[in-house]
Amino acid sequence: MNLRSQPLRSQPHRLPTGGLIDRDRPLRFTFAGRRYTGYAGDTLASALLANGVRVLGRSFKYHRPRGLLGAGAEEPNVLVTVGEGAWAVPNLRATEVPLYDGLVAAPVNCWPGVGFDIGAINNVFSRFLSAGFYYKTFMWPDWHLFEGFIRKAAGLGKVENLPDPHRYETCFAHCDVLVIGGGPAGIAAARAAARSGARVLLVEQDAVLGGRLNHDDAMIDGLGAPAWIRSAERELAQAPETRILRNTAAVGYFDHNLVALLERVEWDPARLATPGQAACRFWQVRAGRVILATGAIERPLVFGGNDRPGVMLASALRQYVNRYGVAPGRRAVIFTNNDDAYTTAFCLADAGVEVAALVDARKAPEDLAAQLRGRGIALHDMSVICDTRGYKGLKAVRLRDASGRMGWIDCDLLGMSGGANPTAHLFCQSGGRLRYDEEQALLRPGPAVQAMEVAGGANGTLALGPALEEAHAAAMRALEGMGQMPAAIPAPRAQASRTATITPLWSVAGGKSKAFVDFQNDVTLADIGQAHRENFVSVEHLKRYTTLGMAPDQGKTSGVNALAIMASLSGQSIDATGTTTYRFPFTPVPLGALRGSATGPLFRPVRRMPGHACHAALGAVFEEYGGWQRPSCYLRPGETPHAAEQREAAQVRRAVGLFEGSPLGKIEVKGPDAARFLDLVYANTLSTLKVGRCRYGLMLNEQGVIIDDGVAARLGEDHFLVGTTSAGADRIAAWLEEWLQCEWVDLDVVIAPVTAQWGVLTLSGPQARAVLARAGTDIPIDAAAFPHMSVRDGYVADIPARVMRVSFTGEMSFEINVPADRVDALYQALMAAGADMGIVPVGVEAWMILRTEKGYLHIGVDTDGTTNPLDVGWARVLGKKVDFIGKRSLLRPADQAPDRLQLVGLEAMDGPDHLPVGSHLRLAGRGDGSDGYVSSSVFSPTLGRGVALAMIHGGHKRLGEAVTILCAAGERPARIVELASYDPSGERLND
Amino acid sequence: MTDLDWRIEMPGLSVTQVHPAFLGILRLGRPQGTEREGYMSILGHALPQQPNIMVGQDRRLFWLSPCEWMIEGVPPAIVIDHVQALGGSRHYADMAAARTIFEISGSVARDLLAKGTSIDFHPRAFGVDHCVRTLFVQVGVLVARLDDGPTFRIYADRSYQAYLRDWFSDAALEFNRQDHLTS
Repeated sequence: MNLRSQPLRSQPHRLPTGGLIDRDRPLRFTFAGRRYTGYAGDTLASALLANGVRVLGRSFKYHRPRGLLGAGAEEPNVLVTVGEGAWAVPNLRATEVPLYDGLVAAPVNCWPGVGFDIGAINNVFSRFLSAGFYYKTFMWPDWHLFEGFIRKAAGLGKVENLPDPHRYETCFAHCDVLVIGGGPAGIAAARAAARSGARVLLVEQDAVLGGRLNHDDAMIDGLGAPAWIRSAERELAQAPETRILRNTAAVGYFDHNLVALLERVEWDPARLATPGQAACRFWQVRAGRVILATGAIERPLVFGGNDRPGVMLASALRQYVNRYGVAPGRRAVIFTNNDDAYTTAFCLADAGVEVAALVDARKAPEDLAAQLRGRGIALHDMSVICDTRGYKGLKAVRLRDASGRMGWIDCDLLGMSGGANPTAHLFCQSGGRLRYDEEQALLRPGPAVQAMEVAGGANGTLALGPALEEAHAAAMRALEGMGQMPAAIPAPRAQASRTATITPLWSVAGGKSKAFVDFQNDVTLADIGQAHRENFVSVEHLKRYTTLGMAPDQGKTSGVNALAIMASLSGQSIDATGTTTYRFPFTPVPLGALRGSATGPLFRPVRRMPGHACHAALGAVFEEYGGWQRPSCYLRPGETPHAAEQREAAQVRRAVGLFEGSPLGKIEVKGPDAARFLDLVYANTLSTLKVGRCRYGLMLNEQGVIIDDGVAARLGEDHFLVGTTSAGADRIAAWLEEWLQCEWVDLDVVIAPVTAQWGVLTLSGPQARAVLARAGTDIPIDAAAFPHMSVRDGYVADIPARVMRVSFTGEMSFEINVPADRVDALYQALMAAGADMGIVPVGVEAWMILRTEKGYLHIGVDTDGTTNPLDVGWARVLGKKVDFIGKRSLLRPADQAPDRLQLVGLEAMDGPDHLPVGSHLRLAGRGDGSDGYVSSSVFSPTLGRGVALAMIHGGHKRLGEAVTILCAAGERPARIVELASYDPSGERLND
Repeated sequence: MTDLDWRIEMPGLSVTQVHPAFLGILRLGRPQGTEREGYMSILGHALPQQPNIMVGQDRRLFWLSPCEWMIEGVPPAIVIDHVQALGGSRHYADMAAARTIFEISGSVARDLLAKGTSIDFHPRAFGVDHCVRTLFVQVGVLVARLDDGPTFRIYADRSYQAYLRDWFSDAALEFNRQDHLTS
């Protein structure tokens, strides 16, 4: 829809003047399918309120109509989905969504709409949906009878089943002082720290700095609040080491002063579509000192019908009036137990909203009572509001005075204040504990457990003047704590104000309507009472039974009220009752923000081999093997991958293939004790190896389990080249280093991993020698001069090379190692040299066919975390004289038990089809269970039938026995055979 | 692999890939007496003993770990001959073909690095001639600061070249905008 062509609607609740909004910039937006207009500077919440829209959502459980309760991060009721299609973001608090032109939003948790919602039936049947009802549906005979229905009904918002088109950034930051909260205390702290030259990061979740100064005017250092904020902002902007992050919420506080921030960078889909434009940036900040200046959140009062649209927090009303120029109602009543809400009454009256009454549960302070009289506002002190009326909007509140007399007062707006509580979520996340302050009736931070200061409202210092002083002093302490010299500057001074008082009022009894404690999870006063009656003593149990505080808002407005109510029910003090655990994140974080750019090709690093371009040019199908992109096969036109693998494998047996094995681990071991060291780390003996020769070896861990295999070459008396599997390259280098540094410090050896320096191209097949000769080499390569399992240095195709005669295929092979940047040249030279000898590029899958035909084991495929060398036929290691890692474990009876899983060959008896890998099998005479499984299985193009390897209990002694293979398609007969199905004597290797 | 003509140029940021002509890693198992100073004649500098320090301009010596140094700009044969003459548990590995270098400079260079690693590159924390081994977008690398420009160099395994190029191209997108971060 084209919103921009719509005429501007009037905003019936917009005040004629005032507010930090730009009345010259009207913005059109849509909510629940209807079009409205607001102004730049509005939030979605303030714009809706300006348009007189009161029912903005439905509650979680009872689907009761709800309107705004608050004006910031604490808002529990108005969750909205913003954006459309793939761009839709669910469960955002409307109070935190800045208005932009063309914004499209919809309420969550209601169907078909906010006005009429089918789910409201829950409200009628609420007596069956009391606290813990979910657990009570778990009943015999069908424990899951109700689960499906409840799961369908539960949950807030809907995530589109489409790829998320938003761009997310992540980054790290460091600072000396991290100031969390850009209200007066945060500004004062940041300014004091910045003046002394410290690296300061000031974060504010709002779009503007100032916090409560944006709605409560004050004089600071002789300036009005707006002027003071501007001057501080100017100064901070000029400080070279200071950065201000607006629209940024601190969401997590972890060990060692690691703080996670979520920055909302951009909302407008029109701008989000530009390349590089992030929606969010997730910061991880390591701070020398943290100053928490997160302010305080007002507590609702708990009385019947306190959730009707039009019942709001008293301080929020001031925000809507003063910051957004919105009259939240026409006729208001204020209900309070403290002095702060009187300011709201004055503010509303000054803005032209009729204030029908101020109801104070206490005896009203005389000076405030006088001010009310001066404005002609009726005062009912020693009285409470005990109930309200009005389904889709407040119509009247029920007053009960000290003598118990009742009466209804007509109004469409009720501002309530139960006092304010420090926003101490991050403090608790940092490991700190809260303490109850009797005098102010609030939970304030106890001693800090990390390098942190708490200042202002967050510390329970609610009055402006003391908060500024405290913040300034906190900055000084933070700098001194880091050994920095703070600049000698005075703390900002605010006009002195009267001392505010409060008398706790945790709940009001006697209303017929539900009295809500947790608005977001629909937990009522009655639910807490029930939990208490059912003996839930611990506050953590209360939380889980009633779900209080478990909604996404983590009980920002409900937590303290709930604890106090529970304390009074149990007769305990609030301190003894304790608090529940606050956890990351303070406000919900999109999962995308956590992943940042790590998606698609950037999900995780994938390595490419030096010859990548050569393979790509030859039609390689790349797959990931152990973190490397490697050719699985090379497709010819019209060929299937299976056909290609078969062709490649057959050609190696028939002629010659070229395979890149660069990822194979290469570790040089050098020093007088190199041979001794390798005898200790290999299960077999390396010290007897002659210079210029190679030997295959197994490495074990202390449990005797095989962890790697490979070929080691002796380059000199005190110099070896240890080959590892591709996936084991880094792991084995670290393993060797650990043994040298921690256990065998007496051995004089150095370890030098050189894997990436060398590219490896392997020629394999009967024509391998001919191709190598044609390519040109100064190394004598006839069988006598260069036998199988030996190593030579020289040149191949004029490239310096180290050539090893080792084989994983069973064919004569030359493994040519050259500097990685010469692989391209060597690849071209070898392919050209072999062109008329039938050379083909060979992928990993064909390589696997060839090694399976030969019965060569593949670590991690044929073996697992229990396989020892005896299991794979290496009983000879028990005869090795010197000690080696894992030897003692191999001597345990369990390691030598005859019924262990042992590696054998397997041949199907019912035809050429190869057996499915992973199939379990049974020996003759067994009717159930398993005697082992197929670990490797391929179709051999050379033999024209399937060949397989298997791990079978006691398999070594069962050669020739029949087994039954259990396949998905049915049972297949097979026979245990020798490991090598092809050239068992190994003649082809020694050509 | 041979395609080294890769670079990113935008206001405030330049990322260039450099091919190391000579680069290797020297490991001394049991350096004797004044042995470390003995390398002065062939390397132009004594091997730095202080962790995470780089010395030299044309020929650079980076401290990697105790008794392990990366040496850039010295033909490998010179070091290998020296090491072999001494014998024992001394080793010089030519790693020129194993590594690639991304050189990052410009006013937002630090902001770009901050997206890939948790190391603090503020000049007070990481001055000229500092070097550090760390994880950079999940890849183990060595980062060094060459000058106050600032210019940084990231030495990475060449097998990650394609991944890192893709990452740099993506990460730099935001700096091509008018309203990007400023540090």
